[in-house]
Amino acid sequence: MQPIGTDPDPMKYVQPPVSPALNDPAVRRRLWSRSSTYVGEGYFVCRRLRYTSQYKEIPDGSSAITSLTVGPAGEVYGATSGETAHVFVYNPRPPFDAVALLAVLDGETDIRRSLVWEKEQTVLCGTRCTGRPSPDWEGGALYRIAAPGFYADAVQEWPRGMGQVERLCVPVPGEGIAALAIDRLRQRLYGLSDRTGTFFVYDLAAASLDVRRPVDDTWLFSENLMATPDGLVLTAGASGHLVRYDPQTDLLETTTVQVPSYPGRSLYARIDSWVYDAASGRLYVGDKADGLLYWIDPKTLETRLLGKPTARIRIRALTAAPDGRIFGMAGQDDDVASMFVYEPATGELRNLGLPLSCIEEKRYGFNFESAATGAQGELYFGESERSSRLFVYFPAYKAPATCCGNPPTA
Amino acid sequence: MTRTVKATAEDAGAAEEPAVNAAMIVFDKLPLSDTCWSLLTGPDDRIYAAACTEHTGGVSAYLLRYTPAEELGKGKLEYLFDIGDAVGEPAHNGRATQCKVHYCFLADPDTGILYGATHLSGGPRGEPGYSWFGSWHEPHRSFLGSFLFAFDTRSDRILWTDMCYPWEGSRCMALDHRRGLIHGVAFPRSHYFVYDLERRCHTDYGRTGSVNPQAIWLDSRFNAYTTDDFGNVLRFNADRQRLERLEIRLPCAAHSDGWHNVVYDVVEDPRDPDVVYGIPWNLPARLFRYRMDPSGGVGEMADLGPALPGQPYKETATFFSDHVGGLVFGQDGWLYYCVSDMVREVWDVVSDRRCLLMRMDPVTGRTEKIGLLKFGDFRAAYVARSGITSGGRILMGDVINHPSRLYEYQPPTSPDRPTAAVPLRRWG
Repeated sequence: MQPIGTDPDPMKYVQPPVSPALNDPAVRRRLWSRSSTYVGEGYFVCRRLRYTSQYKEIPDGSSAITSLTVGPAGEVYGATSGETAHVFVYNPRPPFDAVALLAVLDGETDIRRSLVWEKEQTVLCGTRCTGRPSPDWEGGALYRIAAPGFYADAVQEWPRGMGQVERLCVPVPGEGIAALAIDRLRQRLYGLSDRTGTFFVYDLAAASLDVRRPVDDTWLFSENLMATPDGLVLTAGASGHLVRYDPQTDLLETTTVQVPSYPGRSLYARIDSWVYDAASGRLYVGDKADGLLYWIDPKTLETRLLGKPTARIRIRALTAAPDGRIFGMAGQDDDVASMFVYEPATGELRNLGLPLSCIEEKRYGFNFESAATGAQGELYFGESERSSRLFVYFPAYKAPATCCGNPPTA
Repeated sequence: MTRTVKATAEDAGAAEEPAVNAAMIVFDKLPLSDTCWSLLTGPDDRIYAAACTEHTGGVSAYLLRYTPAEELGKGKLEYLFDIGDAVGEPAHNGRATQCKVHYCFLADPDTGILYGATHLSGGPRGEPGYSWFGSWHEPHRSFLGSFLFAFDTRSDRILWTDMCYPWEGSRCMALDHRRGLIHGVAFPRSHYFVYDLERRCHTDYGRTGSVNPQAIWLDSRFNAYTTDDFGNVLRFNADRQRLERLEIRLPCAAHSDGWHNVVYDVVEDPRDPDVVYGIPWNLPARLFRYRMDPSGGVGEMADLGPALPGQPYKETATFFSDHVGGLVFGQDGWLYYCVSDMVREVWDVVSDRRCLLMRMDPVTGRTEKIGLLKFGDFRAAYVARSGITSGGRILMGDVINHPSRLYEYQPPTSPDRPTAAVPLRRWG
């Protein structure tokens, strides 16, 4: 460094030769316009977490959407984490297109990957505490929340109420709930505790709890429970070994199958997000260690690495479009999200770019921790920020060769 | 030698406002510099400015100091140091450069230290630009982070440097010198952070929105304030260490929904540290007065009307063609500011530029046009920040010219307006 106060060295400002074309602002603008950063395939809207603009949103600091699930009628349930956990429902249908707050769980801070639809207008959630718990905190609890439903109108008149909250139990005292999955056929709720990875089963009909064992003796496990429609439940233990619960045999077994990972990285391999694709019967999985995407056949436990769709090291949100495309959000907390799509028909894995909503609010999407697919094929991504929105993504589809019998115009 | 140009009588065109009696001080020795976003009166009563280079890859920001002389434009201009070299990120290292200091000069009146923090947007050497989102965490070209430097204005030494926010630039800052804290907003993710000068580390308080607020200001108890995308006031409660959204907004035009009404520039009322005057970064920008309530209330916001009264609505106006910045209180009690009022973004067409120096009487709300910043054939387009010395000299930082430059103006004295000292600005 030159002494302070001496004149700048003119040699530092000699530039490498560049094409004179780059001096043309139009050329530079064209260069930029061709390298768009944002998702330009399909489009996003984002919804504030409030019923109508007359209401306040779920407060800043408590609005990170860390669990999402969709009911068969298309209503989207969400749960938040932060200073106080909230549960809400979004009804996408007119005349609503609005978020209704269902519950404020005072004393609870986190609901992560632990929200499932139980039955009409009813969801179940599990809580945990990622900060320092209060002295009277017993442990993460199971809650049942019954929503009052949407009625009347959200345009001119908008009566509505809060949900009814029922605290069911604390499955593993002193520990939070890391993940939940439901088997509606058998009326069972499966869960994992967040410290020891203890697997538990809650019988919804009998309201009884059966606490099993940690899924791995080392307490190294994935904070996700993957469930299939026929009742199989999967997670991963240390080194990415798959752990399977079969309701037919009532056995929880650690398998010899390891999930895909880079050489030397299986120690860090965790299931970060997943989605069940009904068309293929496969579980698509996002990896926590390196941001890999792979699938697992839940019956045979065959796995297939599909690739690494972005430069990010995590895939925290994954969901499937009705046509079988898998959409995901890569990026860790405090990152800039990168959206991607996997097209099973062609095997193509594409980075779509940075999510950006331009409807309701121009807003970048940097952090997402949850995803779900809506009844009409729209995809929901839960933003997890100090002040968060529900992002709705409408995937692009390939236009037919002709439209209404007319040839497409240029 | 410093090249200065003074406005002349011929600069006063017949059909438009007269030229301001001002001088232009050009950073001739930094030919690639193109902006001067940050300008601040230092704790030593001299003017510090950053010569920034955004539009040419591989060039760092440079710290300059200007000491006014009796005659406009004849002061001493000193080129102090290359900021990239100073913080250990030289401009030719292949990364996006430490090319700017945005609204991140801070003056500590107790120690005489001038703090500065770097910002991004300049591309790596040889590249035509920099995509901050596209290069996020990219190991070779990505901007490494915003660096803070502490420059002792008493000894002309750099005391220390440190990265104050990784991977991102610092957009704006305020100094709580009593607690030893610097409040900042990072770009591009608009996270609010607080840097502890003693512990040399930062704490992240989360995102403010998608549009960067361009200023952070303080009340008498050093609570810090900024805004979200819609002009809602955010307060960092110094005692509770908590960022909170207040139920109060900056004013905006009736036809606007308030989006992009982020704060642009704010100055302290010389008579009351709990009152600020400011302007949002919006169209058309409306001046506001905000009386803060340090005890915890939301305070009172007053809409003082458009910064350029009578300006017709322009469908093609942009944040570059129409802009208000450079707010500074004169010793005469008037609030001085610069208004860009152009028919289009005329970065390349100097003859079409219009940048008015204006002033407002905060007592009556009356505004006056002083004139255009015009020097022969040269016309200024845009002023972001201004500063004032104890001698009453106003310096304005120019944006978008090669090389970058300052404008110097001396408000006339008036026997019916007693002069009063202007407090040292506590934010960038």
